[in-house]
Amino acid sequence: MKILIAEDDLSSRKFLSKFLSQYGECDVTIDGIEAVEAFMIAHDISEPYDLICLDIMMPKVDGIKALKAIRDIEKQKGLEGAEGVKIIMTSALNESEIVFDTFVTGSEAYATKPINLDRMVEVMKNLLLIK
Amino acid sequence: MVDNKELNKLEVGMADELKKWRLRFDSILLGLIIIDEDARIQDANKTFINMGSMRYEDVINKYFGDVICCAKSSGQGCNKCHNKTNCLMWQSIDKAYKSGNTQTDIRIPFEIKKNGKFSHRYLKVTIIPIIDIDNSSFLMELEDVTEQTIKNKIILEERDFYFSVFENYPALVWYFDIVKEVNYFNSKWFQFTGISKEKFIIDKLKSLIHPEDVELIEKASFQAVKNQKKYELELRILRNDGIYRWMHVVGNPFFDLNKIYVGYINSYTDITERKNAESLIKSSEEEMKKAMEATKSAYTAKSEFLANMSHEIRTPINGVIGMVDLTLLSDLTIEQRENLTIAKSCADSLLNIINGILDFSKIEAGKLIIEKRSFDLRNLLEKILKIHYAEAKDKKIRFSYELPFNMPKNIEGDPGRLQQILNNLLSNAVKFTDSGSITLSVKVLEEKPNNIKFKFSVIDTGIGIARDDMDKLFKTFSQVDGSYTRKYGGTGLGLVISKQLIEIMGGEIEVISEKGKGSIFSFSLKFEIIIDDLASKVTSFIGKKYKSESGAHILLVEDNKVNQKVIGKMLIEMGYSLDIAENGHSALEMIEQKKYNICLMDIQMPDMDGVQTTFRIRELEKNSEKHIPIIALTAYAFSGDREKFINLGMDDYISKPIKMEELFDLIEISLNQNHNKTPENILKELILKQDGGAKAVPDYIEVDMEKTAYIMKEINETVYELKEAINFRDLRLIEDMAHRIKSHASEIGEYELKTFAFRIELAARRGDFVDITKIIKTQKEIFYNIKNRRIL
Repeated sequence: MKILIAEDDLSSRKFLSKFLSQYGECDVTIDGIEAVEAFMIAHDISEPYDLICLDIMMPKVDGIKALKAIRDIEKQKGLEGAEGVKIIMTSALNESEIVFDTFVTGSEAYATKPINLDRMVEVMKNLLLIK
Repeated sequence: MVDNKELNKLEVGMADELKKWRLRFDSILLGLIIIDEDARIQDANKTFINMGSMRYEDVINKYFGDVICCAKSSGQGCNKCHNKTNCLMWQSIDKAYKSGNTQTDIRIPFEIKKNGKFSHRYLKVTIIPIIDIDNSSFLMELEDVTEQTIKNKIILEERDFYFSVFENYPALVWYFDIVKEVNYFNSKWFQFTGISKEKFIIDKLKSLIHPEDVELIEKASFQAVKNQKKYELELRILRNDGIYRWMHVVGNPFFDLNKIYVGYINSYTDITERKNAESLIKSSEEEMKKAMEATKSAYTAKSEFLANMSHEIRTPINGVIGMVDLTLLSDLTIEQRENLTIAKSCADSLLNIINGILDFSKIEAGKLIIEKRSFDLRNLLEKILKIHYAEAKDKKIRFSYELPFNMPKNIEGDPGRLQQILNNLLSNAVKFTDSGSITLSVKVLEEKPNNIKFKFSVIDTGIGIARDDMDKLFKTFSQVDGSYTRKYGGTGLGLVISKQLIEIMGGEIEVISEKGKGSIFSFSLKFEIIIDDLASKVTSFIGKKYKSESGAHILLVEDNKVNQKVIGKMLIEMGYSLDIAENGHSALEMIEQKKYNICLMDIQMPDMDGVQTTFRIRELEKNSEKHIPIIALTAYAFSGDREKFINLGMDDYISKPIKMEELFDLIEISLNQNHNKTPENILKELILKQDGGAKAVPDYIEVDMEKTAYIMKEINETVYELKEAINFRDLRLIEDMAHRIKSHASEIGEYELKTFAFRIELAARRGDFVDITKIIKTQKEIFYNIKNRRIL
């Protein structure tokens, strides 16, 4: 499994990549632009990501915009619904407005920080990423 | 000699005359007496006799002073009066005697004995001397003026009283009449101004008024007098010590007893103290207001700060919790595991506390937003129950719930906040209950076609709350008992937040509790019933894209490589296919060989420019029926350019930097003039701008050859350093160098190189050295290709 993590906070980034490394190869990006770029490159070299964890509050381009960009690119490539990458939004914010926004924009799950690892595993199972 | 008979006749006539005279004398209403030089009464009329309870015989030959006692003689009679020389009566008699003139209007208080009692009377006396040859006598008229005198006395007393009232009135009072002659100033005026009564004139008054107030009073009094209305104002006048004092001035029109307007009465009251006090109060009020505002804004600022800091505060705690979690996943000794578990629970509770404070701050700062969205209440309640069921089970408390049968599937409201409230009430119930049961009950209070009101109750058999402690329940930062804090923990914010959330959502919280028996916390909230599933509608609306279905084949005539790339990519994203001609010559060749639906023509090209090329294309078309739509691409556009380009044989034009929407519209319109569909949401070029925001269409990059050469040199050097870093297997350095190459490549629009560098950067971050080598090996041509092309 190929995983992309977009997270500006070092400890959160390390935490997620260390945890998720047991499930696959983890790329880390530090802002929204990098995340979208990495996503595009992965497609270019025909090794797309299976899972992207997007932080919401990031510099340059926030997670919701990055999420939208990723879904737009997928649309252009004709990847709809289940064919697209699974995206889990992560954030210290738990305003339902934001959560709602991310679902409308096309994320699969929302994890409030601190991330509950059991729940994370459960979500990955539900998304059929792991067994 | 007089005949006896005659005499007798005369006597009879005289006696008759005398009788007549006596009758007339007696009938006169004035008391009349005749006294001799010694003031012996020789005759008196009936009116005089009746003044006292006297008899005629008692009066005749008596001294005047024995009959009528002057009040000053203390009832002794004038004759026994010691003060006879100073007596007005005696002086008057003396005067009459000496001068032989009538003395009038002598007013003397007398004591007259009537019915055995002396009564106090006022007599008006006239003394008329009767001049005889041998002896002098006086006719005295005595008029009883007691009633009149008393009346006059009262009037005078009243006048004096009112006058003294004015004189002593605690204000400056003055009066002016119709012609504005001042008739009266009270003594306070003179005291206040220090000007003597004699010297005080109305003109002086004006000089005493503060210069700034003269106009004010003149205007006001003029207007008032004109309409005979009251006037009232405040002004400053000069006191005797040279200090201006504030006066409250009231002028009232003055009417006499016949209600005829006769003038104005004015009063000036010193209000300086009040005025000072007022300004003091005013300024202190203002200060207070300012202070209040400052406090309030400081308060709001604090709350806002906290609300805004939310993310900042949570992030490090998240880091702590994350790292602990991660370590817990590794192999640990039992002690290490225990330590970390405690550390984690500490961090968890710290986070809970902070979340509570942040919520509270948000409510205070007015930043809390209540959502309105569709949700399934039953699902939500089951989710909440699951959490608390586990907690209750641990404490061996029975946990039950009652939900109504007739619950609508979807209602509209804020599920997050509802969950927060129920979570708080339920966890409180679990916290404060050691045995027994906890019940969550939800009842329908009211159901209408489009809304429904529920009553949520959390019933426990916990420690309960004493009546006296009830009001402490919803207070900020308080727990009912300080000792609970130790025993039960918590910030005491939970209920405050719950109460405020409920109130914001239009409900009310209610508590019934008995100490030692348990508590019932209940609240009611109204929700709208949703029949349509709104959420799915929203989802389907967002993300709707527009893409050309024409499959048009486009020829792009453009010499600039970057533009070729940018425009080319745009066209492909729009769903077109394209060929690129680098100059006018090859464009002509390609048009002859292939059929294109549209030609995008750059105007400024070396050798053969866009205008010339268009001309040649139109020349070629002359022999056929063909007409390829040509859209000019121009760096500068002015109004009227369209006509110019059309005259030159083109169909339309678009100015650089090219906006995707515009280009798309233009192509679609040119392809089919009947194709009127306006794109709603055009597919965007997905390159993100560096300066924030996911701007989908990149700005046109004007390539400066000199700058490009410089950047290429930089890249060259960095590639060398990258190679070194790889040799040393320094991942940090590899990451840095790759990042630099990536940035440079992005600057000159070399996306292949950028991708190459970014892949190395990502691999370096992963620590995947194998992948780095692999990328370098397979992709190094990219760099050399670019280098060669650029150098050419």
